[in-house]
Amino acid sequence: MKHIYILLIAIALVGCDKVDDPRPSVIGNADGICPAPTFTQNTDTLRNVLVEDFTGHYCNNCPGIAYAIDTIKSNMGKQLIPIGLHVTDQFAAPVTAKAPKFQTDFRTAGGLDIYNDLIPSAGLPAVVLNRKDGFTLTPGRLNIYNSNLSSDIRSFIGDSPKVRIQTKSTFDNTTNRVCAYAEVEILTPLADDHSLVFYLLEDSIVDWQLYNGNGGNPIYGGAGDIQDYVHKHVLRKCMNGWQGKQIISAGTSAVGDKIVEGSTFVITDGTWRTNHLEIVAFVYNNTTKEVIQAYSENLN
Amino acid sequence: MKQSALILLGILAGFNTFSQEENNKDIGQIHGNVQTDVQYYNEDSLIGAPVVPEKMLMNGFANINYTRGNFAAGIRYESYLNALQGFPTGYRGSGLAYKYASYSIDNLEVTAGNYYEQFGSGMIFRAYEERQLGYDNAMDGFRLKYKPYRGVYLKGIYGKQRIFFTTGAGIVRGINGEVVINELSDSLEAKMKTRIVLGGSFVSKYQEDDNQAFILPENVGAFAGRLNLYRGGFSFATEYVEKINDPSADNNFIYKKGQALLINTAYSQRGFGASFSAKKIDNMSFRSDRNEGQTNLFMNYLPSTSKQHTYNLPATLYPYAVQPNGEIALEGDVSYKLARKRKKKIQIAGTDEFKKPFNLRKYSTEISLNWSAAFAPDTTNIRNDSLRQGYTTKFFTPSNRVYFSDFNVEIKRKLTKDLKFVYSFFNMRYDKDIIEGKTGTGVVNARIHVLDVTYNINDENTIRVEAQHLGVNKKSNFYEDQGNWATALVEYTISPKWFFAALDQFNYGNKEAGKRIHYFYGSVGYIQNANRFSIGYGRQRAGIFCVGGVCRVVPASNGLTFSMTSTF
Repeated sequence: MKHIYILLIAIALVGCDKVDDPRPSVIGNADGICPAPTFTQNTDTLRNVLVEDFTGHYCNNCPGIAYAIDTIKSNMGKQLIPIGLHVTDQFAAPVTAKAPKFQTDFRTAGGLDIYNDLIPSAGLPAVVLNRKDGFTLTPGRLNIYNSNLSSDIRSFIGDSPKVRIQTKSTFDNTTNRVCAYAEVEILTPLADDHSLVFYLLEDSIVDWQLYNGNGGNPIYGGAGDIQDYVHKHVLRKCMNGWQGKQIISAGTSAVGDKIVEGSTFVITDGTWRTNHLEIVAFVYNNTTKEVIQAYSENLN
Repeated sequence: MKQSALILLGILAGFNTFSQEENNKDIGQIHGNVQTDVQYYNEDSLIGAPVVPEKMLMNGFANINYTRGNFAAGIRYESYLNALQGFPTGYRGSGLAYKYASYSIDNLEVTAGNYYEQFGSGMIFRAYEERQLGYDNAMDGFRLKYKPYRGVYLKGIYGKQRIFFTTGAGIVRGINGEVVINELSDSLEAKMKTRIVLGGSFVSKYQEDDNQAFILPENVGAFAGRLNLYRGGFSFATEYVEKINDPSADNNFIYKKGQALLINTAYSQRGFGASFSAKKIDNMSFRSDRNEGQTNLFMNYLPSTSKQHTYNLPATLYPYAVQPNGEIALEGDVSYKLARKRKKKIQIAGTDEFKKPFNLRKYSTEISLNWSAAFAPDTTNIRNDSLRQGYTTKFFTPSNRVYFSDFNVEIKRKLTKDLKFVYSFFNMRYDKDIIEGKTGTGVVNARIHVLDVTYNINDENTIRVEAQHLGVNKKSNFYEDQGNWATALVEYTISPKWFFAALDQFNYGNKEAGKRIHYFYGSVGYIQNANRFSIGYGRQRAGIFCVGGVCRVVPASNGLTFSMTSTF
């Protein structure tokens, strides 16, 4: 019977995992690496619109929607925050048969995860606005009808934000380190868990783009392989992971609370033009996925 | 599954064959029982009865048990073709849901296969079946019971839990020890007037961390300690359970520890009984799959501290379901029997003669009072809770929010040799939002009167009549729900074989005139030795069916019901 006792005691000893901190180690955590900035009072009163444009250099329809977004951005200014996410093998992988054209791979692991999570298998171009559901007749389909782009974006214009976001970010030329901090101020009690995401973008990358001649910027002329195409707001890195870091637990935040979180990343790819870097920070609802506020900042 | 059934039946047949060959030896015994419930459903949109595409549904159970000396084995075959309305829809099809073999030798009992088990009050571990609820969290694995020394009882369990026709994701293991102090020696047995039982348990579950958003504990343990005292008519039992971080869908994945404390004390003597219970539960949902809901895969059972009623209206309209995420509950119960007084003889003064004797009180009267209440615990949410502790709570402090309260009185009185009545009054307060998980309803205050009269016409024929009325409080701070109800029941029994019953429930006080509906239901039953058949026809209203604080929602139905039970 001794063996039974030993077995039972062993069960008792191995049967517990006490978790002191449930948060997975966050990619790119800035704690202890980047000095936290001091924020001034944020007075934003508008909800910004995060426009995630899923695109690819071999997507011939994509220049048309990119130009439409660019045009709306020129009218709305900072309230519109576009991101170009290059995704899928079909539209964004290097095209060997076309070498030396279309050889740059703008895809990122985080971008693909986002695509698979939000709009798996959707054709391109696909545009998601604040990851909000309900723009189409199909519940759960987050990519809008492209023909409704302008009106769907306009539907956010008068919205008040549930949180305010401001960022203070730096780039160190000697270490190539990006440090990004965001202050999130709660304006409305939040019933669900929410997470904060930091994206690092590079704007206006000039490279090849396939174009069918429909709706794109007139400077590109007609259909064809465009060599000097300007790829805007290209996602380079999900600094704290594509899901970001949870900063708000359901029902526990109070109006006026301010949460400061940082993220950091060291650029090792020498082809990135560090004077074109941009930080986008946004907070989304973990349950509904909807982005409740976004903010962008040019690093230079 | 069918293959394993055949193997087991083959084993049983083998025992039988072997035994028949050796006629002088014990061939063992086979016992069992069968239950089938079949219901034909009529469409009845007026009462909100769901449309049943199959028209007819059936639940069936057959237990077959073989015992020979210290060996036992058995199976239970179940069919849900498809499951009756209101039962979890996960039950679908037929199969061998329960199979076991066990033997005992030298103070050791070993069970392989399925088994039910309970440690203490069940707050740390209880695997059991409650067929009327569709609840069955049987273990599938091994169990050892061992008595290493007189008065010392050990149990060890290891296995997975049943969910429908398969097992859950988690592995459950546990040990339980109990020491009956009085049994430790002959001298203690002889000297001690107070019986003392000390017990302790440890239970843990393993489930893979499949969540990217959090670091989940894969091994979650809970421990319990308990003390039971009995002396004369007095008893006292208490148990404390603590569970480490167990983030789950039930608690919105918080990492707060769970706690439960239960105190039961009772006193009884001839004609009088009183009991008092107090309970605190905090974050004590304990399932072997953290992502499960409803009544699936609970490892523990949180006892109800409210009276389980049997009369139709109080039992099925506003019964209380224990809140695993937190409650503080109290219950007190007193029953008193006014003793029969014998015939009194009075002597006629100055003579040896007596006046004609008369009865002071020929028949006894029983009065029972019961009060119970469950409160929300006094909690404070933690702001900016990055460690996901959720909230803080004071150990035994209720908040102002009353989930449920029930004050009831029952008077039983026999008026003549053949006539008796029971009168009951209930005053219930029921927080529908919390108990039924709804939003925007409110608190119902229901007052129910029940009169139950039984008349024995002769030794074989008995008639019983019930009249019930439920009135809801219509003050603005209460929720009227479906309004007032009245119920009448007539039951006629011809012993020992036949019974007939007719029931009408009338929702006469519904605010919507179109829902002031009669729910007629008639039934006939026939008992022939070990077989019992019953047929019923009519409407059954939607309600909540609870056993021991565990509940299931029963949808409205209209149709024909056939039930059969048989034992052998």
